[in-house]
Amino acid sequence: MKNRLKVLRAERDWSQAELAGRLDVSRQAVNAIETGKHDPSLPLAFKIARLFGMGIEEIFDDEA
Amino acid sequence: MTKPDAAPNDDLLARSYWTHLLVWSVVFTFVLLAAGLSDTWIYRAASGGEVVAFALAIALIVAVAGGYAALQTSPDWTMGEPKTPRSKRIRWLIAALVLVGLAVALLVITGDPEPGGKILWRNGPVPQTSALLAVSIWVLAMPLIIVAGYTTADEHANEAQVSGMAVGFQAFAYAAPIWWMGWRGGFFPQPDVMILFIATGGVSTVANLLKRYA
Repeated sequence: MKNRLKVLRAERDWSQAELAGRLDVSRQAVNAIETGKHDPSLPLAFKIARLFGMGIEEIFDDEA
Repeated sequence: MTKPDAAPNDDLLARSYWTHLLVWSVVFTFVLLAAGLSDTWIYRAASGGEVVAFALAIALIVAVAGGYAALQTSPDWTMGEPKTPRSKRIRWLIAALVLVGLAVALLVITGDPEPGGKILWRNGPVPQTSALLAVSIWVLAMPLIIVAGYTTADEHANEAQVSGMAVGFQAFAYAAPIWWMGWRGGFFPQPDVMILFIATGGVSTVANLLKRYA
């Protein structure tokens, strides 16, 4: 699944480790989500959306 | 503002992670070497211990120097990971796992009448007291560490763990009947549970790491 996580993170000047800390996951998890190797669970997707103040569908795109 | 394709510090953190891992691996190798040499040295102290003592001194110096260098370059165990209570618990669990392994190995080694810790790599009998204590540690500690690991790891790590376990079991389910039937047919030696355990663990670990990092 494609997503805008890397762009959103870079806009806030956060490293992967900083984002991982805010989401309470590992840096590898953030990297895997950004590169599309791991689709986050629904609870984590909601957590990500809340962190960026956006809707899930504004960050993740299952049709791309 | 950083460009999206060059998010801050990621490359640096990735390099730091692998450097850290490499340096600590070298340090632990020399620590283990020093432990093995110490064991031999104690047994041979009465005669001809000079060469071993010299090698032990070198191993200890490299271990201490390497450990100091690793602490100076990366003065924590996070290896680029965020410092959160969860990641702290993960590091404690890894330390607990290492301690359980060391405790079991030491118990087995101390029961061996020969020096050098060769008993760890053999399939022969182990003194009853050592075996009982080692099994007790394993029986009590491992379920706690496994459950704590599953509840502490994040979903990506757990997914990699489950995936690795599945591949490991598939490798076991493929190899074990071939060996067993081959043994019964007289083609192979008797199946060795520890070889199967180590091979399964190896396959499982590789699959886990590939899922996590590749």
